[in-house]
Amino acid sequence: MSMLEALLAHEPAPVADWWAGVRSDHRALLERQGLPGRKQENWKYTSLRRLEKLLAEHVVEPAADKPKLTGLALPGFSGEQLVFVDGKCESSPDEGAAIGHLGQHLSADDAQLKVMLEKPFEGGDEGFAALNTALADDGAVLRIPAGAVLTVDLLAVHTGAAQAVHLRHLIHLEADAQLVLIDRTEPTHEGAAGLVNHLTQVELGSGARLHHVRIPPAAPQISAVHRVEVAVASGARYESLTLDRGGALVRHDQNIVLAGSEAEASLAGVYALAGESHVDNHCLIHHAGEGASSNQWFKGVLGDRSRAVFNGKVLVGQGADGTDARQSNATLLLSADAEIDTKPELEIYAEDVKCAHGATVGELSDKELFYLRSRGIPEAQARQMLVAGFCREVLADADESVREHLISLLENHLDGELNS
Amino acid sequence: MSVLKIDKLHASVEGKPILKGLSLEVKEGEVAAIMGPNGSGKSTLASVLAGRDGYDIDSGTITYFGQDLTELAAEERACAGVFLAFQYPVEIPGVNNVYFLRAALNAQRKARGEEELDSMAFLKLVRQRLKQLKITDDLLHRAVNEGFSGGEKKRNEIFQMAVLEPQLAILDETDSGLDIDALKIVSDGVNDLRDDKRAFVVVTHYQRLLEHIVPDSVHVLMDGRIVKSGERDLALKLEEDGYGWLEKELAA
Amino acid sequence: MSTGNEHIEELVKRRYEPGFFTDIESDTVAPGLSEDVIRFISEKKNEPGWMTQWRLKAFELWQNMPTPEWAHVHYPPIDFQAISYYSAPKSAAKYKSWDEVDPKLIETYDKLGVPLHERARLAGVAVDAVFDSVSVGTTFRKELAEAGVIFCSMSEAITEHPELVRRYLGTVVPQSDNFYAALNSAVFTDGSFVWIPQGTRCPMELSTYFRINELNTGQFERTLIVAEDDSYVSYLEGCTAPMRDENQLHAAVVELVAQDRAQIKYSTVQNWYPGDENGKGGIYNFVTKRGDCRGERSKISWTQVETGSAITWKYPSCILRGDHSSGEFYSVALTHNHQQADTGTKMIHIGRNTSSHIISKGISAGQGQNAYRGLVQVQKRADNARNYTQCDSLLIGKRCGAHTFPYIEARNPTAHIEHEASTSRISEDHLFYCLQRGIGEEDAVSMIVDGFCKEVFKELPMEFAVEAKKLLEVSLEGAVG
Repeated sequence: MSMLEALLAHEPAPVADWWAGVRSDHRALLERQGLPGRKQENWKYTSLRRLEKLLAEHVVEPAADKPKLTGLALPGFSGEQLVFVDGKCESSPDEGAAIGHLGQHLSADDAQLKVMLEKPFEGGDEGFAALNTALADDGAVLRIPAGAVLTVDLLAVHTGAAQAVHLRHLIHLEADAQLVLIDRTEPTHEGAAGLVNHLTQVELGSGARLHHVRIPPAAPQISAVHRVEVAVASGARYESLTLDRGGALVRHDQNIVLAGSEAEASLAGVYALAGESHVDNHCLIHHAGEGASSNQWFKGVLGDRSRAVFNGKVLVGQGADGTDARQSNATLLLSADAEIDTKPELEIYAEDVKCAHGATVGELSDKELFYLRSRGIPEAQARQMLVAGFCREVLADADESVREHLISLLENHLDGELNS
Repeated sequence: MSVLKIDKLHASVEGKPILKGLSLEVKEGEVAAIMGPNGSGKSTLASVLAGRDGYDIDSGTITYFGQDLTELAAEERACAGVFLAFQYPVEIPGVNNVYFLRAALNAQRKARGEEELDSMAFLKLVRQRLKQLKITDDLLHRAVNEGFSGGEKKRNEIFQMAVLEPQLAILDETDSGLDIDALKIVSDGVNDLRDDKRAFVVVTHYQRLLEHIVPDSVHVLMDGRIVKSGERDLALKLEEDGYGWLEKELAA
Repeated sequence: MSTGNEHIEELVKRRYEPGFFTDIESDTVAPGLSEDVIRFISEKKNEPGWMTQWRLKAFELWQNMPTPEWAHVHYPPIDFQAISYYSAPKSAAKYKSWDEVDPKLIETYDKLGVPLHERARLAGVAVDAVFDSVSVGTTFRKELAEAGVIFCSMSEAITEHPELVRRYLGTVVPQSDNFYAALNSAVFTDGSFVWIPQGTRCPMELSTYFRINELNTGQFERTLIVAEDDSYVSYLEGCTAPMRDENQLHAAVVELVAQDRAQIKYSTVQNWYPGDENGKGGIYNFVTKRGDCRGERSKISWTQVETGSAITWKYPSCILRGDHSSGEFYSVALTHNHQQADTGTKMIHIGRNTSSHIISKGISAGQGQNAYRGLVQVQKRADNARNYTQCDSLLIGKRCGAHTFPYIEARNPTAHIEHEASTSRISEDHLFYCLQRGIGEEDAVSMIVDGFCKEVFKELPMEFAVEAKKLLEVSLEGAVG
């Protein structure tokens, strides 16, 4: 049985007829086109071979004990929480509340959700989104009313009891609403393996603001494919901050459409990788409205045999005048076997634009290292300080509720994995 | 007692000889000024003393408190009390100034077998030094030297020196690029740290700095060697007459 | 400077200057491609058997290759059977001196603004002119021969220096390299061959002019330049074609080989017919250019000014194989009206301590689409590789496009790679400053564009720089307002 057949063998929970139709369309499409391969430009540097191997070897076992969620609490966190364990919601939010989950709507005919769920993923390189559409039966449903301000901890727990988990998160912010979303996946059992395939769709009403902190699972046996589709209305702002610490194969696709005028997007990310981790960040920001601005800022350090890919693209459509787009990617290679492939792209069809991008690849600066050593700091510690400093810069913009947590995740990771 | 003794030092960069038989002795509590025209080897001397990579010692010795300094790695020299105030302090994005300085101080204390300072004790020390140097703490919370003006960078170097309390401080053209006010703050800081133990090597192109930091001895470095040593009036003569007369004297 | 309307009218009339057709009797094979046509070309050129076989192998490879579709350009499929693969001026046989050349041909060069005869003598430029696909004459043969330099047409090289051609042909761009390189390998009719012996600095700039004249012909020239140890050569090429309503194909291959400490400087001013303002006609310029820095401390430098062609598809590249070798790429690419360009370079770092430098300036006007596509690859053993890339785009008008697709692949931790790119329109502050000082808008724009390209122009030999600047001005006509 091929990987795709094995994945499609999963039976999702039954849903309303219209939805079942969407599912079977995508299933048929997948059966025709298959999962993406390296022939596709967007998958040029990321092969699914390792995922295929890990899934084939993965023996699905129900976890012996229930996952201990208490250890997963965010220190000092005071917002709302929504928890999914192996793809099923464990929280029981009230019907009709701002925070709900897709499992509550399986047989319903909710116009807003319908529009989002019916979005087609037909491209040959969109196989995982099609897979998610064909199989997802749960996920967060967040509908933040106009002007409301909320902080939500969206925790997906992976015990290893499922081969693959397909969560579909649907998020709608009405005008001027504000949401801080901490979107994290935590493996709870030693050696937990499998695929985490999340698809998040976001609609931001005018003046709304979403601060999206993304913490994918960091375990050598787990692969994660996280796709985010965001439509940003006038004056609204989408910010994401991603902290990648590794994984068998981690793939991010963030597709942002700045539809309204003066819309904003800021995508930032850190990747600090060791072992054989492979992390691929794909970002597409489409400037469709006038006077929109965007920024992409990704930094990473690569040790051991790890590999990172960055493909950031700014697309400025005709008439999107007043666009201001920036893009930057910097990578430190710490090992002779590490590899970075970076491709910052600009595709511009408007005249009044200011676009710039930069990419650098290098090793730690001798000058900086000498400066630290000349103050008495031993070389190994000096290296570590510089690496941490290099990465930490990006996390400074994280929301206060989670900033310290991110920094300690990063530093523990650097002390452990990258320092060995 | 001699803090630093350099004997017939030959050093080169990428195979090109820069120091050609330089000898110099600096005693406890002494402020020794090294003056010389551009390209004479002043900054090379500072880098060699601090142990920068890429500077090769071809022959000669550098003795620091009776110990062979060239045996030590850059950080070991720092832990032994050698401090270099850089001519061009590097900007290190993302590394916080306070964090950096505490790491440095604790590394040095550890090397000396002293207890490391916790953050409270460290902050207390920092405040005390700030007060002592009459400077404000606005630079502390930024990344090391990032976005600092030329004056702020040099001030930060002196502040680090005050916290780390070296036995031998080498100031590499600390006066370059400073206006008169910044120069005053920096030299007041240095003067404040002078005592009968601590030795200074002040490398400068101009006499100006020496009006504020009055040296005990002045040495002229030309073409990789100390060609003349004297007292403060030597610096004044150089200011007045330039280096030309020395060249003639040497050629004669 | 003339003033007002008069000036603009004059400019409008000027349009594509080299767009005339020279009425010379020519020897053209019927359209279509087959083994027979290839044998015919080879026979016509009195080629030895190995060359015929080499061509046939390329043809076989080509037949099994898909047409490339990854570039950011759009055009209807090309009917390769509708193209004539051989066209030569009938009297092209052999010239001993320029006096024997068909006067009409010389007139052509005069019209081009390249009075080669005069120019060659005055400027000390040795010129090999390729008319359609056949080389018609090389000046300064004698002076070069004294220095030991071989500069002749490719056909001549195949018959007179077969050992050199056999040793190097296809070693940088193999027949199987890509679709158009394979096609070129099968059907190339002429081109230039340069060989610089060890320890020799070529005594003059070498230059070739290419021109497509006949209707429905393709031009497939092949250039091979070999610089042996410790030698230096600077080579210039210029290109023009008459105005035609149909699209014409130009699929050239250029191979450069630099041995130990050798340096090759290759400059191009490409002004093939771009098509009219509605996008009708123009040359499809699908070219493979690659340099191999085979020896240690060798250096290859590409400079190009691309203002012509309906579609340009080319990536002059450097394989930095030798330790301490270096590669440079300086490019100005302009697209106006309906022109499309997808151009850039590849720097492949293989040896130790290699360095590369890329400066690319793209200008888009009208409905022109201009893409920079580049690859910087640092392979595992390429310790201390250095790359700096700067790639800027300038937008003039609301319907044009400027795109940047850089690929950076690093597999060695001692690599230092820096890539910077920017895209913007002409600054209104700059424009206003010029206008306020009394400079007309068109002149102000061309002044600003000239400044934008300065870094590249300064890499061109003096007279080419002047020509490039003029070309840019002419090509931008009507882009403003």
